[in-house]
Amino acid sequence: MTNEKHSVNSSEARKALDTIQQMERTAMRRATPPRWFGALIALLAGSLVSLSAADLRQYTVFIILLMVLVISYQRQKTSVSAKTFPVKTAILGLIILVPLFFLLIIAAQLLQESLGHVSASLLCGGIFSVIVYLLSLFERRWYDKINVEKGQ
Amino acid sequence: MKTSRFDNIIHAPNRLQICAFLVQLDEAEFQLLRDELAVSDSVLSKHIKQLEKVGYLKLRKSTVNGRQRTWVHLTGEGRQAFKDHVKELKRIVREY
Repeated sequence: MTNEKHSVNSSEARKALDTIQQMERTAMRRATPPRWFGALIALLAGSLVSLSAADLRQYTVFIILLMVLVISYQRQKTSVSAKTFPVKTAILGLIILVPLFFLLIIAAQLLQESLGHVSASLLCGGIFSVIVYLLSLFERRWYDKINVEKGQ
Repeated sequence: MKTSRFDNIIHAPNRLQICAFLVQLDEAEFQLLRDELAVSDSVLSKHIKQLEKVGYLKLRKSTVNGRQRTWVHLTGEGRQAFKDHVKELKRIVREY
């Protein structure tokens, strides 16, 4: 049934391809997370590093809960669930982020003597926030790139 | 070998729009799809049922704040059929 003989001429096929392109672009626009989302997740991720480095681990659960709430709010708001990165890119991101998270906590604890307890924790949390924010910008660029490709 | 295959189920205008929208996403909410296509609930339901019947699409229901929401996503088979259909459309445009 799905592979019947068809009688579509070239102009009809072109029209169908245009419709497809338009809908794909609309979907990608919907799926692209707003800038505030990346910034907020970056800030929360940085807070995780700062709190862990400052030996305030009991509060990290609130940050994780807040992250879940923000992600779920964004998902409900856009009414779409975006296709995730290609698996390789996602794994590469995790390979970089997870060790970096722990390395920055260790670095903060080592820097506490020279910079002070609060400053060292904030500095390392800040570095992690910046890295996560840069990754979120990379994600936006990835969506934009697909959008441009669809427009060609 | 790359295959191209014209698919009459997908080619209907509204169903083509549904597939093109969903192919870029993991899933989308029914209401959003209805608004993007500018059709009524019943029209969208009819097309979704047809795609579901051939195994191209699946529905998932969730309850948020006591309100039921329906999410729609393309199956692996649906994604493949859509890709093949697009290839066939491109082939038609190229050759004629």
